[in-house]
Amino acid sequence: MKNIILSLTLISLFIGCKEVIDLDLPYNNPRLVVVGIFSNQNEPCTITLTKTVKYNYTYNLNNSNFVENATVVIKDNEGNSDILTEQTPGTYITNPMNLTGVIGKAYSIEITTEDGEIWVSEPEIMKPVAGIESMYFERYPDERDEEMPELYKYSVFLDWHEPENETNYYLREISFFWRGEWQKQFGWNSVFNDKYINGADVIKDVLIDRHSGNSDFMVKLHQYSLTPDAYKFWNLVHQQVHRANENSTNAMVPLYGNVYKQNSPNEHALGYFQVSAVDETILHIDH
Amino acid sequence: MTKLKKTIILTLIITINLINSENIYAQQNELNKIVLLNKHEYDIKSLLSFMIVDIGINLSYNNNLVKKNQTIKFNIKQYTVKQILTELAKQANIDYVVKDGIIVLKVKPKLSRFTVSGTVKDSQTGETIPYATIALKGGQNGTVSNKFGFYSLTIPEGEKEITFSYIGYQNQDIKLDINKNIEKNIELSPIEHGIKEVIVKSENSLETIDRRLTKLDMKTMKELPNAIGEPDLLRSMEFLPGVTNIAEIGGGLTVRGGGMDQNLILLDEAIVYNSSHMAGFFSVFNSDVIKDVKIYKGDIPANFGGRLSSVMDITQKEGNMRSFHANGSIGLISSKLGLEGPIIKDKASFNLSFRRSYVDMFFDYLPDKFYVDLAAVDINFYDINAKVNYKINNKNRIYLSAYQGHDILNFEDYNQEYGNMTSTLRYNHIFNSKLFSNTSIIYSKYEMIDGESDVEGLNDWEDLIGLEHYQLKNEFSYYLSKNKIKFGFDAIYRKFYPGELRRLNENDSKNDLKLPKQQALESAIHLSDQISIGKKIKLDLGIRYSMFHYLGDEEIFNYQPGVPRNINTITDTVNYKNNELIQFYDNIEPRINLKFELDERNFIKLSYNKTAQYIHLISNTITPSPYNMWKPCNNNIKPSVGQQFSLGYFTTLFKNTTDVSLEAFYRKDKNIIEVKPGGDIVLNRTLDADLVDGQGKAYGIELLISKKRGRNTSTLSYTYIRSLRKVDPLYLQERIYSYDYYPSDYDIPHKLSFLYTFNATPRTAFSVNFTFMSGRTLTLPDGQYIYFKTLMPYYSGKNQHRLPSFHRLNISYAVQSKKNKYRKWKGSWVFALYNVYARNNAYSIYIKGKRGASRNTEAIKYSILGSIVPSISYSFKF
Repeated sequence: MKNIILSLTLISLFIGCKEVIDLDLPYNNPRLVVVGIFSNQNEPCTITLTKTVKYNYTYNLNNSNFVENATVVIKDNEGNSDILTEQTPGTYITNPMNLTGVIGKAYSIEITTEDGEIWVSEPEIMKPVAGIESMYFERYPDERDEEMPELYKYSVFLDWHEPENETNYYLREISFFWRGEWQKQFGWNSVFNDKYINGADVIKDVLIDRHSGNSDFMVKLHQYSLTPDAYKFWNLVHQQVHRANENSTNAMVPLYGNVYKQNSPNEHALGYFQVSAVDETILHIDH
Repeated sequence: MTKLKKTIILTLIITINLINSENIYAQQNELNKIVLLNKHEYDIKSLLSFMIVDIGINLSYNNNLVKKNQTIKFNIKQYTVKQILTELAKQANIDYVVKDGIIVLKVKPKLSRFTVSGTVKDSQTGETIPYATIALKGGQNGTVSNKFGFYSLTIPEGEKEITFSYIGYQNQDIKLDINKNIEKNIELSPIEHGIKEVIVKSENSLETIDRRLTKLDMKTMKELPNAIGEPDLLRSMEFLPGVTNIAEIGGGLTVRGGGMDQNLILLDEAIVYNSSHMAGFFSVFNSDVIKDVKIYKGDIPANFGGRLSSVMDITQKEGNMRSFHANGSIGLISSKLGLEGPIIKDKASFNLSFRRSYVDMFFDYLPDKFYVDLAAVDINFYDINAKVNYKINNKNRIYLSAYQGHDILNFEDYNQEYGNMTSTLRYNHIFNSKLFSNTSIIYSKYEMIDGESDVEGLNDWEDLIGLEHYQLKNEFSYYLSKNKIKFGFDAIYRKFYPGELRRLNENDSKNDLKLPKQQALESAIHLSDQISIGKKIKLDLGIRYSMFHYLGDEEIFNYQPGVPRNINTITDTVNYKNNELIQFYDNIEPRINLKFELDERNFIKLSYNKTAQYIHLISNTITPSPYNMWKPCNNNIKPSVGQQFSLGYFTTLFKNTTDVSLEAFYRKDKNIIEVKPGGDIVLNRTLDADLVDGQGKAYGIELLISKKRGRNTSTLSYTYIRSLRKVDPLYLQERIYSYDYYPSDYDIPHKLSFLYTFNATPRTAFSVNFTFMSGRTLTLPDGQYIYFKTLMPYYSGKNQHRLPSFHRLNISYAVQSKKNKYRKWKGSWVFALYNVYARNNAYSIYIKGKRGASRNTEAIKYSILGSIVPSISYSFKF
């Protein structure tokens, strides 16, 4: 919150100028990218494997540079494991019958690529997550826009209790039900810790504050627990993408995750094998 | 010494044969008797005995008067006895008297040395002039007045002529018969509409005795083009070689590749903790009240400490001792008004100045550009500078000076207020003509409050950070004929307020949060001696012993040694009582500066410096930010220590009109603190876990050519400086660093600046300045990937790329009102064009997710100025 404000330096307010430019940058060694959350939800978890591409490369559905035909195994610290099934090229899913996340247990991933490279992660502990007690909304006229008095805003609030124990880290993911399916709004993700709310009964926590649409719709919130490492990773993801501004160059650094090459531990993959407990809440908003 | 030398020489020469009576004959009158000398060198004893025995001169002397084998030189010719005796006096220090017809030889009495001391003042205002040059005519002897205008010069007796000079003032020659210690206060007259000096008064001006000064000429500074409609002190420093302004306007200064927080910025000795207004747009220094600015880059004297890179020592004007005056200026975005005058004529005076910006007035007329309702935005600041001084008598003087600045920034739901306050009470005491002391009591404070409110007021909060500084220092200067000794102590007690968050709505369920106050004592003792060795060598030896006590009460965190500090490696917490010592650090900091004069116009300078820094600015931006949090060293964060070597060659060319200097330096800093990428600097209880320790090194060469006299003055400086950093190897485990040195954010290799001023008439000045710099370092992606539907840039290193080069041309024309004895009002206009050819210099380039399209990023080039900026300002004085 404050970082965004601080970066809005005065100069950008009235004489600074921004322009979009074309960058032609050299492209070196493609790297493995691991994306996926292993959770305690009783449904299949997806791990996606891709490789980096040249900057400014235009993706489409078929050319995401997927890593196909890999063997992906998720293990817990008690010797249980699941070999994931490659559902579509580069996308591997778990079978909840074999392995489901349990809070307090530690999980790791092992990936063997087609050419025999083995990538592993250190075990990540599944931390508990605080649940949402209630999710509700209010609608009010948008007073600031005098020319369009008919414009409304709505806010979605949460009431919940933040446990007073060690520092907790959270990831919030919002989805809207749209065109017959749940669509995740990654730009709306938030990552935070309990610095300002430790042990509090959090009342009317603002989740969404925006102009109203014309029809009814549904909002779904996933609140995930994060390990300190995963929090640090997500925080940098946010800094590098969502909070990038003219002063944020400090955050523009190599961002490697917890997966590394087994025989060369200094060589890290991008992305993160995330292990989280999750709490899910759905709200229907009437127009 | 000289006698010893002569003895040595003597052993090398052939024995002289004096017994050659044919060549010598005598006359009657003792002193007029003629002696023919046919050798170039004579043994004195033999000569005297020859004069007595062979020529029969009535001469008497004690045998101890002449040393064995002591010789004297002559030309081969006839000498009178008187001439021989004169040579004896000259070459061997043997004097004579004629008593009852007998010539009696005796030891020539040694010339006594006496001290001339006093204060150098401005003849119109009665204000003291710091760093004026006081030089003995026709000799190497000289000194400079100190910060308070006091000087002390010890010279041999006799009739002497002394020249007093200072930039912008007429030289004054004083003839004095030096036969006792003399107190002489001098008043220099300013050159009214004179030819100005170059803005950068470099240390290589040979008239300047204290060679390490680099000064800015305030008069010239005021006529430089600027983008904000008024002269800005910190921005003008970019004409100094080795000093670079990182961004176009919102500049943080880097000196010789050092960080923004490595510059010690002093206003009347008080540390200014945030030197900018409006996020770097303006500096906090109102140019109308500045009397003098000095910058030390590499060779920092031992009486300064606490920062690695530089010292910028700024002195406020004291106020006219004789008459009342007002001055001011009206600019497009800020105006100033100042008053000064005597409280008691020639005894006490005051100087008061007020500055206010009103930039937000224009916001109503600007288009809504960044999704912000500009009409609802308030951005402004004010400054007050005040100083009074009272001259109790010739030996005692008191100064009280104060500064207060305040910034307000309100937009939409967010508001922020911040400011510095400094106050200094100083007491000068002159014990005698050789011993001067200054005692200062200083208070300085920085505070920032920001807050946010939402529609319902439920999530309203405010946050406060700041620090308070209490300081006592005392410094003595002891002037001897060939030494100038300075010694003293300095103690600073600081309280740091790292953050406090207050919830403003009582129904708000979230917590208040207050990070514990931190306290520390930074103290030092120092001793330095400026020694002249012969006529060619000046050696300045200094030593500073600095100490740092980090004190309770506080609950502190310990981290596991040998692994990176982060939240997972905290081992335990320990509670300390109030004022209990948590951690102690100390450093011995030698400061050595050697100057070797090749001849009158050329000299070489060598220096070595060690400096320690016990507080760090925690910032994740590279330009100044109001969120200006200083953090003391503690059990986890060690002091930064820097060492610097420099070697310089200085000369003047073209009949002393042009100074040329070439300097090279190498510096190495350890325990440099940086915020980890993504680190949280706001209200973070475990901030140490988000900081990384590293090392820095920088090296470079600096060339300065300045033509300082005449109607055309110009300064050209070119520097090549590299600044590199690396993090301590154990942080490699954090997966965001590479081990090797990488170019730091302050790595700007090439910088060329040129400044030309033409005074067509004494009251007009046309000036052009041009700056070229390498682009700043930049991290750009080596590829990209998708992480949960978001396109992520992939960075493999840090600062491997650069922004496009920076260049900019500015011109200005300044004109002063006609000189008229009967008119008190003096006005001057400055018309300026900033960024003449509208260069769109990049401040940064960054990659950002496209609005509404998660699978697309875009590269954005951000420039502070993309157009030409004309400005007009009018200043007046009466």
